[in-house]
Amino acid sequence: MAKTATPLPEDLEVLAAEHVLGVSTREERIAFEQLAASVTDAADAKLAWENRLADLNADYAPIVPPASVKAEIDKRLFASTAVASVAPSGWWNAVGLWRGLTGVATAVAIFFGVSNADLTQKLETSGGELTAALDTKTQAEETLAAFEQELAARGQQLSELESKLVENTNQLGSAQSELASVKSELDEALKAETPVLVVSLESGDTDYRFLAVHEEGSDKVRMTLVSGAVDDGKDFELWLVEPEKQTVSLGIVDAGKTAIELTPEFAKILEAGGLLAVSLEQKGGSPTGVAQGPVIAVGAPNAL
Amino acid sequence: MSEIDIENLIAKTALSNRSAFDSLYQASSPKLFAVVMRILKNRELAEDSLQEVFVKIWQKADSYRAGQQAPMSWLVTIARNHSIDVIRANKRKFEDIEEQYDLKTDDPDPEQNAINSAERNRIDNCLEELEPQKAEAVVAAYIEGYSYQELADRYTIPLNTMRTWLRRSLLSLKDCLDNG
Repeated sequence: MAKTATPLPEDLEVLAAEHVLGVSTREERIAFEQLAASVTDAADAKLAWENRLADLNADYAPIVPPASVKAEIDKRLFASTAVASVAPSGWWNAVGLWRGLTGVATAVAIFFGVSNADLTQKLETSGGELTAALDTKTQAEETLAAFEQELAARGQQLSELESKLVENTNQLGSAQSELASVKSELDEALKAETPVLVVSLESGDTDYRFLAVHEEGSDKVRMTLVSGAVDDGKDFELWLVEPEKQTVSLGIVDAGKTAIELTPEFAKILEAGGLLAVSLEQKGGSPTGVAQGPVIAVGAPNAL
Repeated sequence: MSEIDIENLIAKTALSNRSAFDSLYQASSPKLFAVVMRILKNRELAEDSLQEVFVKIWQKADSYRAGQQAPMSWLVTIARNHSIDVIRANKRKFEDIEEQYDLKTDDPDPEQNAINSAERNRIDNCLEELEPQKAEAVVAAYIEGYSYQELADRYTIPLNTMRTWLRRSLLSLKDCLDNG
């Protein structure tokens, strides 16, 4: 970039005025923008002129643009964001708290991921059950197809996660039985065609993983600690995060399996896509109603 | 919607809050569309530019400083700068397409009115201290985004004379506005 000498104050005033008025050439505009980006006096002079002339904005009489413009804007800005990606704004006004939390895997991935060969077998069994349902229910057929497709796609992840899980043998046993029972509940639910929300809670920064299962219409969310060490001096606290609303505590999550009661209102928020988060708190949970400890896992609901 | 409301919407937009961004669009797009239409004088180009302007607003919302500038002024500045950059880059290929601008402007509802019809009293008093033609040139340059060359052509005076005119007028305006 060419070095330009800083103009004298009175020249700066004229340059800023011409820039804001809009009469300068393209080259002059680019040069002044660069100057304002690096020289505070230039930026200040520009702002002062913007404010001096702002009253003239009254001359712009509003014209409503066609709706297609907003649609295009949304397409450009948000086309890649999926349903489950909720903008992390307004949560305790502490965006930084959440910024470190990355990679919310899909519930299905974790569901299969944490299982081992035993679970795979159960899945095959469930596949069999679903095949039986296929005769009578077209909907079940579609679910099964998606299920199996998912299973194949996640095969690679399954083996990776399995080997990780072997390391956590002490937790594996309980996790397996938890998952087996969760699985059977899910099977039940699938057969009953009750929508089931599964939330995998994790973060890129910690080893903690929780699995939350909620049957739509029920007043419970079932929490299972899938991996991560338990600290005897601490408690896990579960939070329901609704964009632009006060985050609410749902209660303490035990190391094993916990069924947490949901009020109908909270169940509705969860079903509408509210996020779940777990923070590490002092025994008995945060006394203030706002998370005080680190957030160790977070996840968005996925309908199974 | 008040200036404070607009300020809040910009602050929330800075936190990537989409519903705030939607509301900000609802509240400010008619004004900003007026800006790009007036300067670009071409509907298609204006629609494209309005998109660019709101993409910038989404991206730059965190750079808005509430104490320094009224929120609508900040938004209008983004729209004006973008439009002027566009015509300076393209020249003005759509000279005098007056019928393009012959769109009836919508009757602003009372809420819109609060934001859009800022008082012009203060600047009008100072413009009155200039010769009428010079005051008119300042306003035309600001509102329509005319370059020095375009102003010189419109008023049929040499470019350098126009430059001197306008610079003196601007400095007088500054004296009047800063001390008024």
